[in-house]
Amino acid sequence: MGAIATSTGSLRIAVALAAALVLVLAAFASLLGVAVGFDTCTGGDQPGPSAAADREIPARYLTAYRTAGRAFAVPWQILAAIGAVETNHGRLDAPGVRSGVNRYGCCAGPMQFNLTDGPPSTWQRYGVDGDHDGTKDVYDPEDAIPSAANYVRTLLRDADGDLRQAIFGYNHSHAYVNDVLARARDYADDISVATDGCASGVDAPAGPADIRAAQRLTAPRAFRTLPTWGMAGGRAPQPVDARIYTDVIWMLRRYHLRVTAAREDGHSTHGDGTGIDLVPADGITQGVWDASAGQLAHDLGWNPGCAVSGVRPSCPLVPAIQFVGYDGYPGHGSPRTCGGDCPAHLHISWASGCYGTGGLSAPCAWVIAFASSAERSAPARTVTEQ
Amino acid sequence: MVAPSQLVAARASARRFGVQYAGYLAGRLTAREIEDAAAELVRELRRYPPRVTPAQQRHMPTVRRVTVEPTAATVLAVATLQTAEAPSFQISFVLERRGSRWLVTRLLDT
Repeated sequence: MGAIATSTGSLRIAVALAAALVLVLAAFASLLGVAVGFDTCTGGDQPGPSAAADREIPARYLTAYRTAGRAFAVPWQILAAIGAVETNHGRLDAPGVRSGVNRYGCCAGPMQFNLTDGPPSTWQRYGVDGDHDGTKDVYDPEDAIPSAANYVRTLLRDADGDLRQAIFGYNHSHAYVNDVLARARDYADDISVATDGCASGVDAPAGPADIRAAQRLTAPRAFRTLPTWGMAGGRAPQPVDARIYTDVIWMLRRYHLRVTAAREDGHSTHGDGTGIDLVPADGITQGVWDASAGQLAHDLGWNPGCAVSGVRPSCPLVPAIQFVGYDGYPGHGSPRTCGGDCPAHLHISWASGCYGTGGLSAPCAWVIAFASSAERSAPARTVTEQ
Repeated sequence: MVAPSQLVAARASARRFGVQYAGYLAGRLTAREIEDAAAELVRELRRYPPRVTPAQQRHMPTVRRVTVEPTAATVLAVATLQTAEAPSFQISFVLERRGSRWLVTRLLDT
């Protein structure tokens, strides 16, 4: 009996311990706020709310934005800003916010998901049961906000991590994008996108280890088409030599530039895909030119003394770059020197065995690109909206 | 370069456009009713209309400031808009001279 009693007691203790462990694990999962049951990512550290965010956003919504931001690796303040521009965080009593659809008969809930496009509608595609109550309710912020995060994550992936382009996907208006970004900056200082595997896709390009270092590449001998967001003024995407693709994408993001010409026929130094023409994404003022295109030119070793040459060795360019056409070079430059018949742009040519090719040609035997870093193939990095 | 005398007219057109575009964003004007928009911009706005949100319908932004900068043949303008107590934001656009008028021909992705 004594042995049995001891054994029964041990069993009770073991059962109690197991039950306690289950409860602890459940509580831990709940505290994490991880949206188990749909494909989530780890959003890493995100900035805390500003005083304005604490003041203006209802506590229930603020918690939902931050939880969804972490779960889907999108900036929570972007979700909050969208919620503000859409429905003032669900506080409006307008049609379609708490019931029914909006005046245009399409959209509903605090994040204004489209219920009628498709099938499947945007809500059907991206709606998730954020609070795990067994229903996906477009009017419930605990469902609608993680659903918006799910949608924005996809938009970011499709836009190759470009935040402006992703927000534009949510509502096709540059004014809307600017309004959202202004409010997001008011809600938290840092608007950054953790472009890990789930936010930006597997080929999220990272920056070079050091643009003053270079590597001679003989493969792949191929072209790769630039993303739509990287082209200026709605131009059709053009290819570049695949070996400089990540360099180009890094430049576009780091210096907030867009491409006006890449590989194209009959364009001097553009036929082999190792030359690009760039303009600022925000090409309004000379100050913007100086801060974007001008800064890149300087970082590549260009200086005003290079003006009419633009090529190494007279111009002390970094090893991967063969030619920089900017202020002072005929037909190139910022509005400071380029106006009238001169289309303002910055030209960059990488060093290759085919430098100067004007007609369309096959990928060159060798190209010199920036030295790659371990970061180039790393799965995660941060891109900051500029 | 656009002459300073013409810049005054372009600035006035830019301000009118800013006010009318704010009304468009709030769903109170149609694209065709934006008088200072060129035909190609009206066509683009009608083809790709933005979705007017309930919050935009409720609170129409107001134009706080308009700056213009001349280029060779066009004028670049930036209008600063603000909605109620929210932070201000900007819209950028290009004006071109059409006959005796300056009209907005395109909105910029900035």
